[in-house]
Amino acid sequence: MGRISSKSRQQIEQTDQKQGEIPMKSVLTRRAFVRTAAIASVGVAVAACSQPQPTTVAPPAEEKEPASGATTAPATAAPATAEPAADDYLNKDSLLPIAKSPIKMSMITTRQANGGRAEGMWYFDFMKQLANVEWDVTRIDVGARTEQINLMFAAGQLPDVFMHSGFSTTEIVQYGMLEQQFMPLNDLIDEFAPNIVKAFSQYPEVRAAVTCPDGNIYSLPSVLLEVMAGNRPEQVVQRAFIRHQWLENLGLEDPETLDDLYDVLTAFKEQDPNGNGADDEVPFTGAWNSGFDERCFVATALGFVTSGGLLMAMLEGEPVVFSAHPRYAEYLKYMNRLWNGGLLDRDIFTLDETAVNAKASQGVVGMMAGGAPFVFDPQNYAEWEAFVPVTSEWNSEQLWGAASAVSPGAFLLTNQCPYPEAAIRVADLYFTEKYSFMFWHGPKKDSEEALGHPGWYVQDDKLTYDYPEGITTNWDHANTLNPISGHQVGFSGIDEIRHLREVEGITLPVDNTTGDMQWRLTIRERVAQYMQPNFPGAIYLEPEAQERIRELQVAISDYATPMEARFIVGEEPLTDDNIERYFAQMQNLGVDEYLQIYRDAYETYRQALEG
Amino acid sequence: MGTTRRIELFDLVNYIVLSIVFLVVLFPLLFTIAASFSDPVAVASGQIWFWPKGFTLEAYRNVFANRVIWTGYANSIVYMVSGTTLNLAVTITCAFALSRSKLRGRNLITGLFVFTMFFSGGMIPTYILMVRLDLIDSRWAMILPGAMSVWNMIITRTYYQASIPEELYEAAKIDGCSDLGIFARIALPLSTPIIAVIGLFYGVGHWNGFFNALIYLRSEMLYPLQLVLRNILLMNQQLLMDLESIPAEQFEWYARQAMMAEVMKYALIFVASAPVLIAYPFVQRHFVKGVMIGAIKG
Repeated sequence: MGRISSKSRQQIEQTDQKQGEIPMKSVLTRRAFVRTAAIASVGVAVAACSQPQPTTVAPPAEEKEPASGATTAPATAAPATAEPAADDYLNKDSLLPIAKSPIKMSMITTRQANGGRAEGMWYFDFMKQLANVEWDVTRIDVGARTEQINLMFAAGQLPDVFMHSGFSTTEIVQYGMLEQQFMPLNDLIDEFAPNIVKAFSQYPEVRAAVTCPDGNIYSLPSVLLEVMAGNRPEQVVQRAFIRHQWLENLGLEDPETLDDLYDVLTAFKEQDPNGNGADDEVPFTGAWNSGFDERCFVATALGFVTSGGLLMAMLEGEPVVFSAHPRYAEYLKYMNRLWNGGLLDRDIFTLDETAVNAKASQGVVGMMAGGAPFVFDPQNYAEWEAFVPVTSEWNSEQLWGAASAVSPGAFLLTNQCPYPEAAIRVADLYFTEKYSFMFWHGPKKDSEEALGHPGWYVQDDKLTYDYPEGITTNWDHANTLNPISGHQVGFSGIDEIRHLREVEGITLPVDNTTGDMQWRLTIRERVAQYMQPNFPGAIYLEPEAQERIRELQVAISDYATPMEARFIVGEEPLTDDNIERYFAQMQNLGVDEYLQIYRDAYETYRQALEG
Repeated sequence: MGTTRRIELFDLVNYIVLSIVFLVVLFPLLFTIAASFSDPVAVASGQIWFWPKGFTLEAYRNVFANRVIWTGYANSIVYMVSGTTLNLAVTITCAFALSRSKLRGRNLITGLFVFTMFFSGGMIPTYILMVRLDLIDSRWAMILPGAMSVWNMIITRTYYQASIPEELYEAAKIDGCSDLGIFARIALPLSTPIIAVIGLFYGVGHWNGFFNALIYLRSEMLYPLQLVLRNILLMNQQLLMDLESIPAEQFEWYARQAMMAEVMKYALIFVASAPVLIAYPFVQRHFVKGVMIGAIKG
């Protein structure tokens, strides 16, 4: 068909009009267009003018004067949303119930993959019935935690309380100190939380770990009670193990110096300690840049108390940067010796945690850092013992690193919480042994707290449960009772045996042969005596300092990490010139400034500890 | 005579180069399949190449026993089907309208659309918008945002402009067809290639999409498969958090999960990509014809 020329098109239209008929197309178009436009604009107007529905539990907007006695309003710029006077609703006569009549608060917790649903959890029934607090809970997947929480803060969609969400000190400083979105807790604690006050006075480290540079406390921590009390030091000790069975097979003693260690590792490699005739032994392996720390074996021998990583460490009680200290060259030289002697796993810089565990379970590894022998070598865990720190010509004291037993950021109040006193009272429960134990293991069976849920009971001298369908381990079961995600508020890591004995009066025998006890005992016996505190992991920095540290850290780390690997494998020869050049470059990257910022922060921390 | 030999040499080199490229591209797929049938320890120590070692169905058994994976699968299918349907409905109608030269304000409207391709509010305002619309933690959060991709709309519009002559519409109009009828009876039946192409683009986008799910969804019941996959694989990394202070039971659980994650990883990848792998050959027919659509004008 040929194109209709424009002329003929006009003719057609004119013909239509001439015949008195309104061209159907034009009218329809115009009318339809006007109609649609009208509807569309009305629709837009309606949508734009309608009130947005709030999605969170919105506290009442009017400000009320809090009662004179209760100093609950934070003394900062953040507006305190209406707070009913504490005297009105709080039950001050006993620990429970918390409120005289039921109150509602919203909370956010994070959830591991095996975390149960919030509805039907014993914990929330307990809160509702025994504490008179009804919680509106949102659980966030721990994998999406950072993105979702950042978005929440940016959009201002906050709950009343954050629990079990593992806030880092950076986030606490950012959202608490800077943006004042978290409520300072100092006065609330002093007035309403006697158990927290007791914990603070008993263990000053707990208070120091949660005090920000501006003097306010914005979060409550997770405290490893057994470590503070000295019962279970292994919970914070650097975990490194050596296959003692091989030492015995070869008739060797535990190494005492770095030179001894070299000889022992060489013997592992050459003398076939696992007796299978094959040259398959890997004396020293690990997942170098992830998981547990492999540098500690040698670094502690040189006098550095380190928590892993190439950066902050303690040397003779002062913070230093490990990879910028002159003695670091000795570390590199020794590791290079190990590499040249074939004593380091060739893949050590590229393996990941799971691959290392797989290797260890094959019975070919002599020495490694890992979670526990029964985890990475379940068949032969009894062959392993904790690695005893060695000395060297630069350091004659046996040292080993221990992390802090206190991690802040487990419990936080946002500044829109309508019942901060009640929230603090809830947190206070976590600082009593009785409730802290219950909020992990669940209630005792048929106790008054059980509220119709299955509880724990003692059978065959063991703490046990009636598992509901689909659950097979204690850990999974605990997650169906309580909203745990690993960052327990208050006292955590409680030793069940001790607790049952002291608090419930039930004495259970201790089986020292289980895999779980094996690693604890070996660390307690061989290493705990040498424990010294690492550079604190949770240290608070002023926001400008935080920015500076972030910039410097990337540059320094990006240089030091590959250089370490290159020096160790010999790609970069360990000549004096090269080493000097390396240290000079570290200086150029701002290591001195980096160290000074942390030294100042550490001073503040030390003063908070003592004062 | 000489010409024939030269062409044969060219063919030969061609085949060799293509075979190499083919093997390079095929290797990851083969590796994934091999690893998914292998013993976890062998996988973790890197002993697998083309063939499974220590043949076991453990991984697949774990994958299919995991309830969350099934709901993830169902959710992904729901999001893909309903999402793509909405996408197609919106994109094709819009593109058709914009392809008609007689549309008033056509340039202005197209200009506004293109503007949004370059400038957008960003993640946080979008999040606030979703909160206000009460779409957080609901299935609509996966279907509505990005319902029309301007890019795809422009491709479709070019298709209409290039392959359906205006005369066809005029002829239909002369015969008394309404505008809606022109769309339904003329344009739509002729759009099979573009529906296939755009449908594939959108469909694969929905199937692979996890970021929207990550920030908007909270209930496990609504997670698409990709997010479930991410969570399972991330569990390895969870080992690194609070290493010293977690209780032994939890640590042991982590280690067990990490081993299992290693085992399930490859089986999961295969199971997650299987639908797309299967569907592609059927759509490919249209795809080959359609992919050049936006390129030729007039």
